Amino acid sequence: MSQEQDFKKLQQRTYQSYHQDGLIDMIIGWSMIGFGLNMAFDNSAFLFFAWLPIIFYVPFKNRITVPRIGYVKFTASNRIVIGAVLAGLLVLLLGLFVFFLAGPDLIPTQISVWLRQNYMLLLGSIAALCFVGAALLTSITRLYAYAIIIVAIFAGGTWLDINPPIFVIATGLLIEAVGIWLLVRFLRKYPLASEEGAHES
Amino acid sequence: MSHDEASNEELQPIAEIDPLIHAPTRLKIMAYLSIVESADFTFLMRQTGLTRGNLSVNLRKLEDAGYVSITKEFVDRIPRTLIRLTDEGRKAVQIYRDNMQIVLNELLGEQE
Repeated sequence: MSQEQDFKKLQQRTYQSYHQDGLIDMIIGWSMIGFGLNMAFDNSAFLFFAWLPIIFYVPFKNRITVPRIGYVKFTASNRIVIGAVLAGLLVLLLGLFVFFLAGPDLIPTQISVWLRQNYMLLLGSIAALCFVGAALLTSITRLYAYAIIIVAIFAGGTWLDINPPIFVIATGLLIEAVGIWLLVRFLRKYPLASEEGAHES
Repeated sequence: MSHDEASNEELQPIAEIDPLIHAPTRLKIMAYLSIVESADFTFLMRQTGLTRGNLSVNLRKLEDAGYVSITKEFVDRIPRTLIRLTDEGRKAVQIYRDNMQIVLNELLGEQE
């Protein structure tokens, strides 16, 4: 028996339990819809719309999740590691994206042309890798499913020559719908704890 | 050295296992608190599956032993009871895990 492993599993279950409310999914979905609308209408107001839900994450968590399953603060080292790795991964992948698109001299012309024609597939793969990284770090397993869904929709959209904003918005709507479904399930599973004893010591 | 003496020596870590942590209810509480920085009463109740009364009694025992600290704060004018492991509590969990590992290794080794 490995007690280290058992505590690790306990930590993973605790993470999953704290994020079963669907709020993360709704934020991801909303942001993707915002980016899709920005691409469709070339209006940066939609970029603001895309980032907007991040502001509401903590207040929503405090109003919806905490009264139902309680409050937990994960260790600072975990939060710092997760944040740093995800930020590093995102910067690295976006750097690669820029390199592939802006550095045609550095890579063979055929590859460069192919990447320019299929840039949405590259962007989808980067997003998928970010989801895989987040899933590995947070143990929220449905993020793996989102990674697969994004690659599938982006590949399908590119292959069928669909207008890119449409499949970005479609992916966002799908993830948003999952988030809403999770939230409804969470609200039913955890009705509000009674006032009287909820904060007893 | 007789067989009994050798056996007693091998199982000496059992005597060092902290009975306060070894109780299943308190072990659950300590395990959950050891993987987080702090948690409130509702969270511990949901995660451990303990009743309000049971959790309250056991938290008091752990607090009396100096393993957990319990503080109250107000968030949006709503009181929140925050529970966290003290340094002593974290050390106790670590020692408990080490001792249990030794005991289980000894016992499983003997079975082979």
